[in-house]
Amino acid sequence: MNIKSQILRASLLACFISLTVACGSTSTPAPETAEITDIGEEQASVILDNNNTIEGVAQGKVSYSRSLDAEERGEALRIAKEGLVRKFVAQKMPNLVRNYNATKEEINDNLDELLLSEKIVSEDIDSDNKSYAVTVRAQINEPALLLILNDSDSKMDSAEMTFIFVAREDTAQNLDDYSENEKTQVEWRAMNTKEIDVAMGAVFTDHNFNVVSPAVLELETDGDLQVSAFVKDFEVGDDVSSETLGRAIVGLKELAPPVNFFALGTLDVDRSFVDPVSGNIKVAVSVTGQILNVLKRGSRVAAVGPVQYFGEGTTYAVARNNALKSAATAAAKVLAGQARANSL
Amino acid sequence: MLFLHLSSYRVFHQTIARFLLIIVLVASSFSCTSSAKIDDNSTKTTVYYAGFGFMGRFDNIAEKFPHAARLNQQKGRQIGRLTAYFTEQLKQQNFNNIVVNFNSVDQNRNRPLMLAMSVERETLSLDRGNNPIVEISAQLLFFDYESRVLLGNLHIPVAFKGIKGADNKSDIEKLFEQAYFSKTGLFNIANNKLKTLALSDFEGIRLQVASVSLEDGAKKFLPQANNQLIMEEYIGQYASAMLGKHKVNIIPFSKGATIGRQMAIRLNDTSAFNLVLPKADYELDITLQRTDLMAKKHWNIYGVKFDIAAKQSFNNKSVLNMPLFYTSKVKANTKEKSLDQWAPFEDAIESSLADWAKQFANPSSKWCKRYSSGSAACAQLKKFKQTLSI
Repeated sequence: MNIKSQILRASLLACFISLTVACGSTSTPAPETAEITDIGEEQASVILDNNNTIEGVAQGKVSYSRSLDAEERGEALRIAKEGLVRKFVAQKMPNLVRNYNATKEEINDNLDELLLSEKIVSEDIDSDNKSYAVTVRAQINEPALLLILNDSDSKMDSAEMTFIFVAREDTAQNLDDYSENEKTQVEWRAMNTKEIDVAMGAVFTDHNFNVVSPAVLELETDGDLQVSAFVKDFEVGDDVSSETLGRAIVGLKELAPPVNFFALGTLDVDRSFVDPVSGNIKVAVSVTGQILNVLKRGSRVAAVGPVQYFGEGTTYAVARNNALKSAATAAAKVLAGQARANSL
Repeated sequence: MLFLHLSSYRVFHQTIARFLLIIVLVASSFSCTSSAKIDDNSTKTTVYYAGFGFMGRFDNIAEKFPHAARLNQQKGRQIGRLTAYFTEQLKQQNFNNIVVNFNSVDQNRNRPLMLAMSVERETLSLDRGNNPIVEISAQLLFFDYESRVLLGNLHIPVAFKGIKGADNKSDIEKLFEQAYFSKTGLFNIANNKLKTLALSDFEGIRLQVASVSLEDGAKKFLPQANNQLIMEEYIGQYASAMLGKHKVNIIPFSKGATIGRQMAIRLNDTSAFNLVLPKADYELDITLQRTDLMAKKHWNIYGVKFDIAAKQSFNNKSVLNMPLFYTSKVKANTKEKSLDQWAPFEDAIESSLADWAKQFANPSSKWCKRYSSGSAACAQLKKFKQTLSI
């Protein structure tokens, strides 16, 4: 498939996704691939909201022996609420599933704080089969849940890390550039975006990484780690040259104490389009990244992407920055979770 | 024994003393709280003002709301007249449970809330006596700043009737002017509603009209100008408005303005955005099955028949399934304009849905027997009302 048709396909895909996902800076819903050990009671069934709300509905079901009592009603409600949190972690925070397994007991002991605006939607008593089902709707208190989930990270040793993520735009103005100028390969222009550093740094810090600026490390490694070399490599392709990467890994390892982890990747800004409903500008950003373990010869401990995220705004700049921030935050969450789970 | 008695006596006295102390403390704290409530805004919910706007696709607002668009024009001013008027009115009011903040949103605040008013429909029609009728349907919307998720909405319908024959352009313009700006107009009604409104009013079980459809038997008298999509949108909005009147926590129906659960809003002087509607706990499907006309010498009888069904969204479990019949007897009027032949049906549709919604406040066996399937319908309505906690 030539580059022109690839880009056309990507644009069509972006348009289609924009019509099916929620507004603002959102991502395509995460596939439910994570495994949570000890799924537990099969009686819990849960539906999560796929819009950008953090709400879900869950049903808990119990069998009763003679007559239904308060304890059995409470048990059904507990099953529903536990199921709701479990599904939320599996679906919306797949990178934190291991943390969930480690902190499940604490989570289940704090369900009243973790679920807000709880509402009983229905209660069904099946007297023939002696079963009772309660359906509850609630909002997930995401910050409180993250506090417990990330607490398992804080019990681990903090590790030093640095990262270089390059945001880049296609230099071609439109598809015709490819045919008129006989271009066969995408040429990228790197962009200066502080928002990415701030957004990613905040996530890595939350996961108990001690984040060191690559600018500082450039000096400390006597130029072995060179930000401009990474930017230059990413402007011509998706990979970093072995020389640029090799020198950086060796330089980081030789520091005392060494920097344990090095995260790197790209955020590619796609062409903008007008949202057919609101008239706002929408921009898609595709993110790819990985974390390397410096102490183990740069072996990969986490990877993400390519995954697309959208940003919306009244101007192109606002929409692009929203998309970049959203993509950077989401990618950092996945990477940090995987790295913590795989190597610490 | 005596010792035990004395000690019980002491305990009794201590208990009484403690009890009195608690009463004094509770009384003083209660009086402090109640006096503080009068002027203290800290007990009220802060909502940031988002503006006044229109519901629907950004590119057909001028076509869908021509009168509002005209009224909004203000020579030499950047801010539209409707926005300026609504903003000024809000600034002058002191509401019981909310404080409207007109500054930029403080993003450090935990979950900032927004308030906007949005017009969803404006119509001009003639009643049976050929009097022009202006109707405006608007929503007060409360939503989460970051996620744009709708937290609550209050429907405000306004209707103004002009005098017969006063249907030239300037008369109609005057009617719309009244519908927006007069004492009984949209903005004043909105302000009065906001006086006592609290965000806790929206915490109930959520209901939404999920679909409205017209079967073939319901289309035979439908005029070309009043096409099926417009009628379906109208029925959905009207049924929602009537249910909202009876304390049902109803999510707006906005067929044509939504894609999935997003509802487009274009604020007058700022931006356009998509509001995310929360998922309803229960969904209503309204089907208009038939419209029938029985013509007599001096009277015409107009009949409508609906099928109304409700299900739980979580598991599609049916909770309501009832027919709804309604007939209205209207004196035959040979001078009626052809366009108005649909008007009596529209009246029957409105009356039937309004009466049906009223049953959520107080289900009546007499009504169920006369307009639906009798005791079976009544039992379902009562149970559903209980489920909705109203």
